Amino acid sequence: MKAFLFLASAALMLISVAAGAQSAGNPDDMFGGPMVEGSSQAAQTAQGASTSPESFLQSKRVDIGGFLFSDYTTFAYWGNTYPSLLDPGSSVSYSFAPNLEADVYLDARPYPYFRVFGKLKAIYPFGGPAQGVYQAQTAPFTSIYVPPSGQSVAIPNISIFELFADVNWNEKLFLRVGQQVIHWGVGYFFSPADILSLTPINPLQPTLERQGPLALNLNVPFAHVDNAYLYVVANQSFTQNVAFDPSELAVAPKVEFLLGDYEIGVGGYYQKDRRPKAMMTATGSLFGTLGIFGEGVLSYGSDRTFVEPTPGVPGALQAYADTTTAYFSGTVGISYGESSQHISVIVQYYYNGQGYPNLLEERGAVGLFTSQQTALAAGTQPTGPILSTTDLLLPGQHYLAGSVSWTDIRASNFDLGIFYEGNLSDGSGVVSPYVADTPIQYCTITIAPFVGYGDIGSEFVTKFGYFALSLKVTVGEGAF
Amino acid sequence: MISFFRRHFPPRPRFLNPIVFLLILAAPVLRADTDQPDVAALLGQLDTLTNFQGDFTAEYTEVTQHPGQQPSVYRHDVYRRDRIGAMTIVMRYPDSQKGQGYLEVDNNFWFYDQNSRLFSHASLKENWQNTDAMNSDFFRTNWARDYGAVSWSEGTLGVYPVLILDLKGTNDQVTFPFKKVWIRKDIGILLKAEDYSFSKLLMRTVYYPQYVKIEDHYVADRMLIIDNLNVGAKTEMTLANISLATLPDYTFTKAFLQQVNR
Repeated sequence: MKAFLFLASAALMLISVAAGAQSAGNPDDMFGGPMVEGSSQAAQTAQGASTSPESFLQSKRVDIGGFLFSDYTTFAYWGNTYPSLLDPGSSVSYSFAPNLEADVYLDARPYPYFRVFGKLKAIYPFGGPAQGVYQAQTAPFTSIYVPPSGQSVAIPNISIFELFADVNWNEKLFLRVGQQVIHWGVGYFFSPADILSLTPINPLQPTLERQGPLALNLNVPFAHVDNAYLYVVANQSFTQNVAFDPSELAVAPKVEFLLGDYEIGVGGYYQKDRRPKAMMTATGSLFGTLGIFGEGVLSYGSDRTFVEPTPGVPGALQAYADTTTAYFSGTVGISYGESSQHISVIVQYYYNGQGYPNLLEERGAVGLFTSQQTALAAGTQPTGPILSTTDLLLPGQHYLAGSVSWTDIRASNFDLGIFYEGNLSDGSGVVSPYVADTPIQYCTITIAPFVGYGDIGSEFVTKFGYFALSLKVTVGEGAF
Repeated sequence: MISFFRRHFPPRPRFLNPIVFLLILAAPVLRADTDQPDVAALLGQLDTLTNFQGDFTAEYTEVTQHPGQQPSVYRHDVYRRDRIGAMTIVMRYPDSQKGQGYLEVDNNFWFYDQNSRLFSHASLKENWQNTDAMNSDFFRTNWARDYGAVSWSEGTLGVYPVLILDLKGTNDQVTFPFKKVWIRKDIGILLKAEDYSFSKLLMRTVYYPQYVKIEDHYVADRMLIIDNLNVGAKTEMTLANISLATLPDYTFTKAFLQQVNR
């Protein structure tokens, strides 16, 4: 009934706004008669059930909703050459990348102090064959189906992205337990202080949600907007090791507080067999229009495996772990938004204290990683620590990224923008301007070239090549 | 030690100086003699009339029409605790945004993003959703602190005699650095405001054609916002279910936004 009344009143307002738009009447004419009404005392003091804060915390029904991502991109890729003006079709290859993904959530709130939330992700292709791999299981996990050797089983490409419960005690202590998204940093393209997320930010899609760990989060608000948090985290190793040792739980306290118009966050992270870390974040604004943010993380030792020249063997490289050196990484950025004109600008610099200072050392790490993988595939155990792909992520020491976007240009259906990301250490980067048109609602066409620069083998030339062109059609994408 | 405290914290006088007392009594008269409106007092009165000592709740509905687009409708609750400068906004409609929350405390404005589960510092100067309203339109006013008059005149708006003030922002936190406002002379409420950019470009015009009186306060329960940059763009905003009931303290915490979000 309430929904009907709301929709009816909204329809009336739509009619009145539309009528107002059609008439050329002077809005000043609205002041031709009485304009103040009294309100009854009862209406003033009684909190209507429909507008009380509790009305958001309790519901008789389970809400189901989600978001459909639906875009289809064709790439023309020139690889490690720029297209020839005379013959642009030479050395080009094409690929097609469909992206069909549904996020579906369930939100149950039986009591104001208890809530269960879950989110599923289904990504195309929704199922696929997986080869049967025998893996010894320890009790009590003895009922896992293991297909016979050589046969495959269809694995649905559906995963539980989040599943947690919210509980609060006297509206003073708030607990969230379960698999949950946790972001600690404030950076947009890079976030070194985000030490709890399982996946790093993709600068090309910085607002994309990223999976978090199984964790217990205790939150105590104080002084209105200041907060103290304690996270107890069972990170991804829990899923890998069936026999989980409770001493492997990570503990991460954090405090957020206001200092003038700046919000400061200070936190720490400790887990056995991983390097302890301390982090700090700050956000605020300059001149009331320019947003600024920064974060830093100090690590005692590094969780990464590094590469260095082998002493006494010219030209040879070896991997090593460093558990004693203090490493600092930090980032600062500024953002500017002119929301009335739909313009936004954001620029961010990142100092990666665990990165390599030049292309030569980056190449060395990639080379050693490749040779180690080759050796492992051949059944040979390389000497020293094994490099992983995460050890090669963001290999440089200095990065710069930025984007400028102008959407709904002058109330049109056109968007313009440009994205840049560069590794200042190895001298590589990518620039990608784009233009988008939305001819009809829920249908957008985007054309974006990607222009890379740098030496062959450098980070961004390896990722993007020297030139690529994408044509993306986004259709039927939206929340439901 | 005692002399130190006496020197720096002298005892408060029990009575006002008689001359100062007489000057204070005569101040309104002196002002009246010059026919100059006491702009600071007027702006202060605007704040007094529209802000509340206790808590304030209202359900806002915005209908926005932009040329070439379908009208869009937004509905959300606004919770205010003006005495500490706190405000919480939670979306109710559209359903896809239900539970999305905003928290404002003393010029610090956070938006809780339901995808990243991250609070981001936002600005009161930003537009509210895809409407012509600004985030600051929902917050308590601070006219006396934020604006000073550049010039004034008298006139009428509809049937109401008004004072027309050209205002200039006193700090860089204000949403619009220049404003022109029409204030009803008899009861001192705001009827119309023109908002200008730094370059004195007219950005939008806001009309306040309807008020509801609650105790000694006035709440504009209907507003029409004209976007002067995009011809034909407008937003009508209405308030319903206004309440002054005391709100739970946790309403003004980040934890509340995390709980109501989906």
